[in-house]
Formats: sequence, C-alpha cells, structure tokens
Amino acid sequence: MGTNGRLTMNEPFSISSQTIEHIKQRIPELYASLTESVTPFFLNNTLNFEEKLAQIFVFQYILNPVYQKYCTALGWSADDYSRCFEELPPLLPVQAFKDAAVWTHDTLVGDTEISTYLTHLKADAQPLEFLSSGTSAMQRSRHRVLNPTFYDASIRASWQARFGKDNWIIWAYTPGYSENPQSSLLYMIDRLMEWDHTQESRYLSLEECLPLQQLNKLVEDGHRVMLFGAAFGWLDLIERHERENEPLSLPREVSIMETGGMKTFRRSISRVDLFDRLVQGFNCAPEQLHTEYGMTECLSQAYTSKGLWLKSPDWVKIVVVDPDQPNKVLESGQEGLIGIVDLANIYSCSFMLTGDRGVQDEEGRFQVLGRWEPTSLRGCNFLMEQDG
Amino acid sequence: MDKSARPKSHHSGSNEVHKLGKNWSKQAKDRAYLLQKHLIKWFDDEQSGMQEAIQQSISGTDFSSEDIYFQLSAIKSRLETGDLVHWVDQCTNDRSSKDQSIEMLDIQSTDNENKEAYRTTQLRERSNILCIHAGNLPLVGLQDVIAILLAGHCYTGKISRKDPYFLPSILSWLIQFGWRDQIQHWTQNTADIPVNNYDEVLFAGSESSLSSVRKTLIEARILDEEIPWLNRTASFSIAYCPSKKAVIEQSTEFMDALMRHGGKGCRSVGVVVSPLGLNELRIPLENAMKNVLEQNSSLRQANTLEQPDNLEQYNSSNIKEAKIPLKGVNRSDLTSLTYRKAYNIAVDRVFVGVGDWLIEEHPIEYVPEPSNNRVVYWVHANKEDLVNLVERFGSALQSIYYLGTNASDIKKPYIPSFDIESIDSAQRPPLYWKPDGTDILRYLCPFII
Repeated sequence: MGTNGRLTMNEPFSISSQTIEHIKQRIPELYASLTESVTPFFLNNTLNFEEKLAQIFVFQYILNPVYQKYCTALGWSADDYSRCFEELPPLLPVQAFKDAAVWTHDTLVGDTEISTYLTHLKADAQPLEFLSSGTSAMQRSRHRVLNPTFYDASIRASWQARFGKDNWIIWAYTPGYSENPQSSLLYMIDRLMEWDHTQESRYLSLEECLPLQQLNKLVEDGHRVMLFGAAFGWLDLIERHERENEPLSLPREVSIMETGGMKTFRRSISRVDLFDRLVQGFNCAPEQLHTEYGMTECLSQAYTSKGLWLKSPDWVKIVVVDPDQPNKVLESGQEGLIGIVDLANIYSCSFMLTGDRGVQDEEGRFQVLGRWEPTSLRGCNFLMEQDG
Repeated sequence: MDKSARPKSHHSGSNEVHKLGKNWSKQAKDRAYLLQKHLIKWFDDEQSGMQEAIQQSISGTDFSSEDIYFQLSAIKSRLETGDLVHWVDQCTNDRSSKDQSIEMLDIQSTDNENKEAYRTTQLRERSNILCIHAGNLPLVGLQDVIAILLAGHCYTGKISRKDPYFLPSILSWLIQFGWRDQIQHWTQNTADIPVNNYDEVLFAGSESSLSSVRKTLIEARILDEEIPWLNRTASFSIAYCPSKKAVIEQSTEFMDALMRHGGKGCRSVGVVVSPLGLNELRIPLENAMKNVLEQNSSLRQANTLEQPDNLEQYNSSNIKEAKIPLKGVNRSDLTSLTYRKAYNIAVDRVFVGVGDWLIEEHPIEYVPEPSNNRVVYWVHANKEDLVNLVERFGSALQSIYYLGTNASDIKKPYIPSFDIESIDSAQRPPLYWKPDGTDILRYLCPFII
C-alpha cells in the first residue's frame, strides 16, 4: 500500500485499466449516491435488495483489497455482478476485522485517484474508527467508517423500523465501556440520546441503584423510556438492588434493551435463563424486554420483535450457513453460522461471516444461540448454548 | 465395595495403607509380567482375534489401515521393550511420589473432606474403576485398561463407538488367560453400564462432552455425584523447531507428529514454535508434506478391503513402515480449507498449503488454540516465548516436543507436569506416558508407600 493509505498502480489492487466511466456504468445508482448528497444508497427505494447488493459487491470488490483477494481466491471477480442475483457473494469471516484493514481504499483509476470523485476515500478525510472491546492482550476488531452519516442513518432507521418515530428517552447503563471510548455501542447510544428532544437521556451512575423516583416521574409525564445496556450490566444492577434491599419494580411503560454484550465477563448464562433473571429482577413483564444484536463490524442492528427472535432491517439480510461450506445457506430450523449482508457497510465490507451460532425461522427472523467457538472471548453474545 | 466399611480412623487407615503398598509392589510386578506376556500373545497368535478386529476397524471405522498398523506396531514394540514392568518399577521407586503420598496422609488427618485423602482411603486393590474411553485414535483407551489391571483394580469400560473393535478383542482375549476377576464388563452403550458402586471414573475426551456424560451417568443412577473423576481433556501438543537442519534431518518424525492420525489426538502437534519464520522453511516443509502425501497416494488403494492381499501381508516389520494415510478426508474438510486458504491470502497471512493440510503463521500474541486437525499454527518466536505460550494454553496442551538433539536448550515451563520430549516419541509414546501430566498407574494406587 502506498503512502497515506492510497493504493498505487504497482499494487495488485490498482485498477488502472479501468476508467471512471466504466465504474459509473457498472454501479450507476451507487456511484451517484456516493458523489451526491442524497439518501444513503442502502435506504434507496428505487432498487430492490439484490440490485443494491450486486452494486455494492462490485464496488467493494474493486476498492477493498482484503475482500478482493478473498473473493478472487474463491473464484469471484468484479464481473460477477449478475452472479450476485443467483448466489450469495463470499462472506468474509469477521475475524478479518482483527487481522487486516477491511475497508475501501483510494486507488488509481486510469491516471486519476478515485478519491477525486469519491471524497470519503481521501487520505485526509476524517473517518470514525471503532474498536471491539477487549484487553490489550486480546486482538480487537477495527472498523473504519469512512462516511459517519451512513452509520447515523442506519442507527436511526434500524431503531425506527422497530420502535417507530416516537420520542424515546435513553437511560444507558454501560459498565466496562469506559475502557473503550472507541466502542461502536457507545457511539450508537450517543446518537440515540441526541435524538431525544426532551434532553432527559443520560448515562446512569454505575455506583448507584436505578433512580426509580425520577423514572416514575418521567413515566407520569407521559414519556417513553428505554433502559439500554449490556446484559451482564443489568444483572449487576439487579444484584446491587438486592444487596441494598431496594426492591425493583419497573413501570410497564419502561422498556429494557439488552445488547447481549458482556463487559465484566464473570459468568456465563443461557439466553433463556438471562431473560428469566431479568424479568424476575426488574419485576417486569417479558414484553418489556428487548434484545439488540449488533457488532463493531456492522453498521446496522437487529432487534427482537417478540421473545427471542431477532428481526433485521430491510437493508440487511441474515443467513444461516454451513460452517464448513459458508456458501451453502441452510434451511430454516437448521443451526449453523450466522452470515450477515449489511448494505450499510458501504465503505468497508457488506458480506460477513460471524462466529455466532444461529438459527432462522421461515419468516427470516433469527436467534443467536451462542458462540461457535466457546473459547473465544469476543465482547458480544457471550452466552453459552441455549437450554434444551 | 461396601461404603459403610470405609476406614474412619486416619491412623489405623495409614498403617493399613503402608502394608498394602508393600504387598502391592510384588503383586503388581507379577501382574505386569503376565499382562505383558498375554498382550504380546494377542499380537502374535493368529487365533487371538486381532486380525478380525483389524478388518472390522478398517471397514467399520474412520481409521485408515496405515494408522491402525502404525498404532499396533507402536504398542507392540513398547510391550516388547518391557514398558509394563518398567512402569511398576517406576511407581514403586519414585521417591518424590512417595513423599507426596505421605504428605497426602498427613493432610487426611486434618481434613476428612479433602478429595485426595478420600481417594487415598477409598482406593484399595480391587476397587471398581469405570473408564469412559475416547476413540479418536485406534486403541487409545488401552493405557487405562493396562493401568487398572496392573493396579489390581476391577475394570468396567464404556467403549468408544469410534473404536469399537480393538478393546473388546483384547479384553475377551485376556479373560481367557485368567483376568476375569478384574475385567468385569464393557459396553458401547452408556445405558448398559452396570451399577457397580464405582470408586473412580477415568474420563478421556473433549471438555465439551464431559459434563453431559457425567450428567447422564448420574441421572441414570449409575454413579453417585461424589465419585471422583479423573478427566483428561488436553487437545493438542506443541513442538519447538530450532533450525532448518532439524526439519530436514527429522522430517519423517516431524511430519508424523503433525500429520499422523489425520492430525487427531492430543499428542499430535497443533502449534510449532520456531526462531525461523515459516517462509524460511517453506521449501523443506512443503517437500516433507508432499512426500508424505505422495507416498500415501500410492497406498490409497491398499486401504480398502477390496485389496485383501495387501492386508494379508501384515507382519511386525511392515507395520513399522506404515505411512500416513489420506483416508478419512472428506469433502467438507477440503471445502472448509479452501475457504481458509482464501482467508489467509486475503489477510496476507503466511501459510504453507499442501493437499488439504495447512501450516499458518500467527503472531505469538494472538495465536489461538488449534481447532482444526489439519491446520497447524506456526509461531515465529524464540524458546523463551515458548514458556509464555505453554502457560497461556494451560490445560488444553498435552505435550511439548523438540526437534534436534539438544532438549536442554529449552527452558522448562514451571508447570511440573510437562516433560520436554523428543519429536520421535510424539506418536510412539511409552505405555507409561502421562496424559494431562498424570501418571495413571500412580494415580490409581495412592496407597503405594
């Protein structure tokens, strides 16, 4: 790679034989959306999901060296636009975000740097960079987000797809996250808080019980409140209430979001047990509990729509694949590895193979059943195998 | 054993234990001579049932004929070397172990709840031992059977479905020679394990299966919850490779350590540590791996029952030359490795790929526990770093081997259970080797003083 993160003609990823006109012809709508201030491409309603997917595949194949090498080794090329309508492009293991720089790079197109047209690829652009949680001894995922507005749009649209356009007050409880200011979860919570027009959203003290009086007041005033935090943080809070003999009884108007993440990893618990414990501990109804499934490597989030099943937004496709043959999508009901096509990841990689074990139902909803490798200490979805 | 008859007093128990230990040595040595003789006879006698077990295993298990012959050859040669008698001698002469046993009795006097002390008083001759055998290699459970018989205990076994022919053949054979009192029962089905007031359970297998097996046996009331278990769950070994010369000179032994039994078994090497980067050794490694696979390509047809003539040529000399087989590779392995190679290319990871085998170079900070039998991790690091790695892998690690002649060059990890072994012993360990650092005979005889 050349200086300033730009690829040069001598590098294998130079596309010097192409012209910008060639690229425009191959991905017209995507190119237009990246060069004009319009609706983010993944929210474009004039194309269907497969058309958007195919354009993003070509774009990422050309400009993401890691993904290009992976696809080439598996027999795919930039000419495989039509093939994307018949089969899923290769899903890159998310481990790659730990091992390499999985984002699109500036390169020469003919004699011109492509960043001349796509300014977010410029070396002096100021991207966001998120890191997964973990200690210094752990290898952490690094996700560079070249256009932060895509992330903001995805967070908002994912949320609204599940919870509507009502105003929500966010109370976040995030033990363990202070060590990782580059957490994508914190960025997401910050955005959700910004959008609360009451300005009552805030981070809760980690040293105190839940301020129930204030919470009840907000409910009396007709506000909707979401308690937002990692699963094991909530268990810590419940234990604090038990210890301090302050009974918890959550008003029915308040919801709880657990992110599946575990930052204090001192125990493992199945999801069913976790839900039971949260319902019992908060003295709330099961309907008040929600789960968010997201990860550093993904700009979009899935939420539970009912019970344990997660539903992804329209621009995300979840598949469950054979771990040995990740190009083989399994039937609903079969357990396998969760694959994600997240069209919001335009400048990184939209085609990802997670390390999570999952299952899908006939409606396309999915459940995360745990890590495929139980020894892996990644920050999210740290639950052991589901009971039964 | 009637549990109500367990000794209550430490002092009377201690004296009794001393006496038992003295008698045990002589009796155990007699048993070792006899068992050695009877086992060697199983290999040599045409009527022993071994040939039938070989044929059944070749056709009815995932083991290749080469691996089967290799394993049989390795075990037979160790028996002929006198491993069993040596094992008993080693147990009775081991001063440090003796001291530990005395300390254990002292602990017992103050803490009757102590598990080890419980075992010391509980395990007498003719204790009932239940073995849950692993089956990832042919005859991998034989060591436990031998240890139980040498110790003078009674054996009941849950035979692995992956290796269902060899142990039953040996057990049936031994019964004909007077071992009936000690060999009580064996079965492939957990539900058929008889309730027998077991004093100890020996488990070898994966960590993931341990809790479910235990739960099943307790729920079926085959075992009480308080019965002690010895669990051996280590899953791979490490080799230290000091130089290119060592790779070239010991390529056969090195490849055996990596590729024998399809890379399965906890004694197979999953991680290599070397002061040389993988690129520096690419050519000799590729040559060695290709050599192994080419040899086996020509043997592939001989791996089937359709070629009985080849199998009939079996004898002690040709089994010692058994080559590493290709059999057992399935399409799924090949496909997943294709993806793995693509991934290595994508992230610019140095790797050597020959056939469906991969050696990948990983930085020492992030090298994971090996999980794929046919993928070996190469760590470019010096021997001081090896110690850190050993500590990091902890109980998942079985053995540490070295290539070359100077094992003392390697700083011994502070964990006392690790001996540094020569690479040529990886797949041909002595019968008294210590799985997970435990001398199983010693473990079964806490009463030896």
